[in-house]
Amino acid sequence: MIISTFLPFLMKKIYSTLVITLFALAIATATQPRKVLVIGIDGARFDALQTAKTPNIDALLENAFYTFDSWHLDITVSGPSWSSIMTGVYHQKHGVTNNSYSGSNYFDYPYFPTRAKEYKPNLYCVQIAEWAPMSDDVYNDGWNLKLKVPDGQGGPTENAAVTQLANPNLDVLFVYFDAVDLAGHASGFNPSNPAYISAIEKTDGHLGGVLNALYSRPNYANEDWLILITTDHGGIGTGHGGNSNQERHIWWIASGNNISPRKLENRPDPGSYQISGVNQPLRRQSPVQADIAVTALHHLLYDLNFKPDTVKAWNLDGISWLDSIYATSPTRELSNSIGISSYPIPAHTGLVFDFNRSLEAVTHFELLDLSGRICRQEDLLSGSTRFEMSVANLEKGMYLARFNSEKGSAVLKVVVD
Amino acid sequence: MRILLLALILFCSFSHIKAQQGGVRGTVLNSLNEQLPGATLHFELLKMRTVTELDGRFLMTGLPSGPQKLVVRCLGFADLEQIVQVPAEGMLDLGMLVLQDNAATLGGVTVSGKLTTGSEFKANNLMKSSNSYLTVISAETMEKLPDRNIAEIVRRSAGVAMQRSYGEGSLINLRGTPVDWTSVTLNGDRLPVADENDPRRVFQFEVMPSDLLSYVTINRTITPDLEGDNIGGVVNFLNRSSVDRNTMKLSMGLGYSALAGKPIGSGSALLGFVNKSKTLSAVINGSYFGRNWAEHAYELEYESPFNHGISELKLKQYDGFRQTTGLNAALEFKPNNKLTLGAVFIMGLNVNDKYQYRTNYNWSEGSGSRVRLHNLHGKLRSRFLGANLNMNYRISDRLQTKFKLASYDNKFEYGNVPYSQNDPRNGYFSVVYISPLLQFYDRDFIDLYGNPAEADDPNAFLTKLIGKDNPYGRGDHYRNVQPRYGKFVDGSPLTPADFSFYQAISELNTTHEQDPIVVQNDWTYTLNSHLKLIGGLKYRYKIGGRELSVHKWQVDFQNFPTKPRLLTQSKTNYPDPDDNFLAELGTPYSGTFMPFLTHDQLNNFIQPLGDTLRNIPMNKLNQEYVLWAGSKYQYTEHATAAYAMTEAKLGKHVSLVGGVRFEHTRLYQTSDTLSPVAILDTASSTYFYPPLERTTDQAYLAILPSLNLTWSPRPFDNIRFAVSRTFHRPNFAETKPGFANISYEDLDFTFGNAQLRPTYSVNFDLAWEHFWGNKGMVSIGTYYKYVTDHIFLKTTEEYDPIQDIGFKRYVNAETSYVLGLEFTINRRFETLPGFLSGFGVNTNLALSLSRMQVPGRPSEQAMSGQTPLLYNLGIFYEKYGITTRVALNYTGPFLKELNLASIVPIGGTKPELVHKGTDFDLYQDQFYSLDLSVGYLFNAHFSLFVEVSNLLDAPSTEYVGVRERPHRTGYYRQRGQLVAKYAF
Repeated sequence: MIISTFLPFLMKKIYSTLVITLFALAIATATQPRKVLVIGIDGARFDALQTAKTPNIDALLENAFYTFDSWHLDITVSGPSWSSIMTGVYHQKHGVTNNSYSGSNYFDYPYFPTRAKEYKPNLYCVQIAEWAPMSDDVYNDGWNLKLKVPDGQGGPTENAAVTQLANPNLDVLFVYFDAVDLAGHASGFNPSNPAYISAIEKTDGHLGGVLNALYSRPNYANEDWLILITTDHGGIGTGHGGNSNQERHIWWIASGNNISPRKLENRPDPGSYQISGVNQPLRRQSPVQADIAVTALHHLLYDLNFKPDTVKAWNLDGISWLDSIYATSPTRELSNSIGISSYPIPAHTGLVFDFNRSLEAVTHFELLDLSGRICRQEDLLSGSTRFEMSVANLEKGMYLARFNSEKGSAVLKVVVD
Repeated sequence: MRILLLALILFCSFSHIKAQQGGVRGTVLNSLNEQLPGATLHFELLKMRTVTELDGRFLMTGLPSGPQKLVVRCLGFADLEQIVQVPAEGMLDLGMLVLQDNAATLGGVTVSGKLTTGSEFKANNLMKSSNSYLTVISAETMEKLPDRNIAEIVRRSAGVAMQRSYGEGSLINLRGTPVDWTSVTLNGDRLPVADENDPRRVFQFEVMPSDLLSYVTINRTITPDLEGDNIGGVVNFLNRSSVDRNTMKLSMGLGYSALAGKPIGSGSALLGFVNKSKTLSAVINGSYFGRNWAEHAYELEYESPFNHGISELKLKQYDGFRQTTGLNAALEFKPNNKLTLGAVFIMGLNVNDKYQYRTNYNWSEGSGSRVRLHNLHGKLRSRFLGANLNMNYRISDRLQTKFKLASYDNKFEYGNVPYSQNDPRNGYFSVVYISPLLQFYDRDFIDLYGNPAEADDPNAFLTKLIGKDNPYGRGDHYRNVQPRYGKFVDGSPLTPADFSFYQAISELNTTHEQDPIVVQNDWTYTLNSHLKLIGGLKYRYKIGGRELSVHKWQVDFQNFPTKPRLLTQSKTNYPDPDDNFLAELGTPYSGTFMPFLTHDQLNNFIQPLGDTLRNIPMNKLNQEYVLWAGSKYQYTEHATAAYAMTEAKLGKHVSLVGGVRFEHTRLYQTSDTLSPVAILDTASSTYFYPPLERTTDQAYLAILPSLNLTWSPRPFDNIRFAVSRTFHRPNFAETKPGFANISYEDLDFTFGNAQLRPTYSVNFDLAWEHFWGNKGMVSIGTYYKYVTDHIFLKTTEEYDPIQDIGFKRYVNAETSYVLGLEFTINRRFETLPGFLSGFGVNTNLALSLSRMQVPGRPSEQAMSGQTPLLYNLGIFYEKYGITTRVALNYTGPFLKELNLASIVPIGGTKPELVHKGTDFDLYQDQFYSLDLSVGYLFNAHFSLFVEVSNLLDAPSTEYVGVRERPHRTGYYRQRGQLVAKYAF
């Protein structure tokens, strides 16, 4: 409901945003260049990932916006899933329904590097994939270089990534590991299966090597890397492709220098296009696969001041979580049990208020400028966990966000830049 | 070598000794002028005897001069007594000694009886008079059996187990030992082998038609003149090398395969020529056997090493046309009594043009739950060539030498599919269509080890479980495993329009083995009638190699992004129009089949698609090359042997053969491994592990003494005792260097082990044989084999948890043993009155017990490949020109493969065996077949046979742990043929 009132409002702004974008391109500033590293771990079940000893992922989570409550909304098969992850749309649009890749429509729904290059054609984008169809069967993907590495081995993948990360001009790197899925098919996708756990642990080792190479970039301190890590599906028995929770319940990690560490917990299942459809408000409570491409795109094009999910021509299904994963404000108590925080600081295009528990009553929201004028107000429904608004039409400066309900009230400081 | 040299010097010096006593020679024949092998010649007063050779010839020396009484004795013939004037010096040629049928024992047997049983007399005679324990099968016996395949003929003997391929005998093993412990030789030379799937040193019998052979012997005990590389025994083929009169035989057959619903045809011809002076003989014979065949099979795949969850059901409908062509040509020149020169050429070609329609229900394949339709076609060509030049020279009456130079070549390759012309992509070709995702309704939740589990337990597995493996008691019956599913999107049933092209695959395989030079020289020195000294040398040069690969085609989306290519866009037909699939089980899959590509459409699938397909070759840049790098290997083997032995007659009743054989083996092998460091090929942007060549050089000497003792307390009884040491050369795949060798079908990876020692066995045999003249024989034998360094497949620590590949490595086991009992009775009941006197039995039974210790398992178990029970129950009727035979052949279940999957437990460091018991091992279930043949001899020239095989249509089944957990079950149904034979 909230979103539906918010979206048309945002849409009105999109065309003017595009105009601004073109202008912004011409005066691109030489501040921290924004870069993206996507790491894919095929077939890693959310609970097995937590069972396995993964010191590198654990270290990353200390500085990550992440959830072990991400849900697969579509076909739990690698071809369609990685296509959703990299294009930001689901199978109805990208057309891939199985691993043969037949029916693909990457011309209309390309990988996110292609979209990013529409604005920044000089981005240098590299894919390192263990699973050959990702290199052979995908087109219009925007990669400057598609490296094939031995399947399921990890070591060469890590080494190739290390080599690529030494290139100062690298802007986007996608590194894909297949070993976990292979182990699951061989003997079971299951936290009680030693071979499966072992594959996750080994992959974590290679992931550590990739991250070290990233952190060792000579100019790392002056770059703004967004690290996105996810899987394409879980599994049950020795397979996947179905709609069981074991196959659909996945995880989603974003990390980087300017990230505010947050763990999203107990996020509800929004449903699936494969069952009876997706509940859009619920789907926005936790990041999903298509959000990887959109968030990555948003990061790459951040200085152009528009959210990719608002570009009508792109028709993306995913949303950008970029604003959410930036540093957050201190939490203010609305009541004994509900804390409110906002992000990002400062807000550029959108502003998100996150409630660590769902609202217990209708809550009135007001945004006041420093002169006390109400710039925006809205009644938030009971049960909401998140409220998102555009700041595109607000003057730069400081604002106060006030929440009032029968349970209590809270005020947060907000900066729009 | 030194011993051999000594023996040779000894021989040569013997040859200079002037004979002080006289000798005799000649040939024993029957009334039809056929040579009689195995006839005994006794100078009774002198207590001296000898036995005729395969060509009926004999030679005796060291006889005191003067008149001596000679008795010639042969089963089924009246004794021939003759006073012979032995010369004081030199050799008396007795010429042809013709034995007459023994009227007293033959009774009322007619001409037809004589013609059809004469061969068995010969065979029995050879067995009786042999120095070692053997079974002889003659060409005439083979002609009486419905089989064109030698394996199916040989398996009718005691203690022979046979394994099938495409419903026909393919491999045999003697005495329940592993298949590669049985050596198959042609004229004494172990044959090179080349098979599609089997990389062991085992001869695939289907390439050799029985019509080319004159004898097959099954040697259960070994003499030093035989190649020592066998533990189970030796099956030796003797091809037709000469005729003793002008001969022409024709045979034509026409038949029908019940399952294929198509005809069978066969024909053979033999032309034999001999000149008037009988110095030159030429024989050429050829055979052709073309049979349509079909098989219906279902196969269940159990994927997890922890539980018996089923991942796949495969419904396989094969039909094919198999053609075996054979050619044998031999020339023999005997300018005089001293010299025989011969040349032989033999060829066998087996082409199996097979199609398969395979429906795969996959509960959990890599891209979800689906049905896949595999349309397969391949032409499997096996070709065997052999040739030899031989010379037999009697330097003197005492000294004889044989020289043979032979060359053999065996090759397997796929024929021209899918490209009609020669193309490196030709192989076993398949076009694969896939369904959209499915939801299966027939899966249950279990824990890792198959116990019930709650659906919300995060450690639950959802899998298909049948029979007792289903802990909820709702598993399908193992003979009626039904997938229950609907389309994933809406639960609706699949239609043909749901299937789209996925990929085409060509499995590639070139396997060849060649023995370009086999050279052999034997010397026999007859000291006197009691003692022969024999020695010889043999050298064999072997080269071979195996190259497995795969080629794939997929749609080139980069350049031709297209909509899915649907099955309904191609010409199709339904694979089971008559609702006949697995009718034996009540057609459990009736009405479930999707259409498949017509044969014509399948063969013309690839070419019209042209550039829209992306060729994916298997080379070092292919990601899957890791699976194939070690699957190419070459080898060169030099085998050099020398032996010395003596044949002695100790008194009237005991004969002895004993000696020693030395076999030296030098083996070079080459194969690739992959460098552990991946490098970048910039042109293709591919990181790959560059292949590195690895070579090995091994040498070992086997010292193989043996002794055969035969005690004949009465003329028709033999008690045999033998002890020998024999060995088994490791198979080339077992000693190859380089990376692991793939078994593509099972995704098994096995490293060779250059440190592997050959297996040695000390063999003890004790047997009693009794011959009832022409009425038959009975024998009881027992044997014991004490085996060291048995070669064994072991799961190693080199486990790759990433690929979940349990790398295996061959190792030498500690000691193991086989203990066995064999019983044979062949008996004609001619004492029964009138009509009944034509009946007889032809029955044998073999029991064996073997024990080996599997590393990691708590107790000893039976050896793999070892069959504890085998029997043949045959009843025949031969009278009034009728030859009828009904035979039930039974092979008991045996362990085929051990499941030694091992895994590193969570928190552990070393892999542990998952199963210490046998519930995950693969077994070959019992097999039995009932065959019938009825023949009628119209006259001496013309006969007609009706042959019906596999009357009971028993399935060939493999199972996991217990019979109620089948792996593969296939039915071939009955096959019949009417054969007309004409002999001029």
